[in-house]
Amino acid sequence: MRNNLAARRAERGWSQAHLAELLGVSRQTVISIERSRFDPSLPLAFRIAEVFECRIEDVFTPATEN
Amino acid sequence: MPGTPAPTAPTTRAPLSAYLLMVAVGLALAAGLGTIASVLREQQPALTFAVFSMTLLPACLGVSWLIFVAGHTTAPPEHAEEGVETNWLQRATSGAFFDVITLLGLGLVAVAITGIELSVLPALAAVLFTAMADASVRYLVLSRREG
Repeated sequence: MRNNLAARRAERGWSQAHLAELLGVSRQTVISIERSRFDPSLPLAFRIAEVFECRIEDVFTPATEN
Repeated sequence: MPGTPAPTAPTTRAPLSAYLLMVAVGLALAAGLGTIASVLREQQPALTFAVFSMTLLPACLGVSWLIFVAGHTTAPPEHAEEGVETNWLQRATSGAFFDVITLLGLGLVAVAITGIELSVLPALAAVLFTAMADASVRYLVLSRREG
């Protein structure tokens, strides 16, 4: 999956460490998600959407979708 | 969730009592295991006690540190099970498990055909070392590739 997590995080001026604290995961997890090298679990994806006050599909899109 | 407070940051040092307890329990555990070994092996009990106690001391101190000190100095993320490190660990150990099963199968066939007599201790040590090394290398590769 692709995602715009890095852009949304930058909009809010958050560091990766701060976002990781909000999500209850490690900073490495945030890094891997932002690089699209790790697809988060559904509960984590819901928490990401909740943190950014949007829907999951606003953050994540299938890799095949243009 | 945006207003969720950050988890309490761990302190860099545990109280002195925790370190003292860690050392005391670690020493007692190593001495206890050394005593068991010296009782079960009838030859040179003093030497057996010393060798087993000393070789097991690092592992015992490690376990003791995990129980008494780690809680003060480290704080795992609230949802560590959903982290990428857990994912890597699960994949690494799963892959290592199948590697060890394959290795054991091939080894068993080789031993059965050749009729070589193997002692249990080095064989078990080899299996353990292979499993740990395999999982470690797999974890390292995954973390480099996907980190």
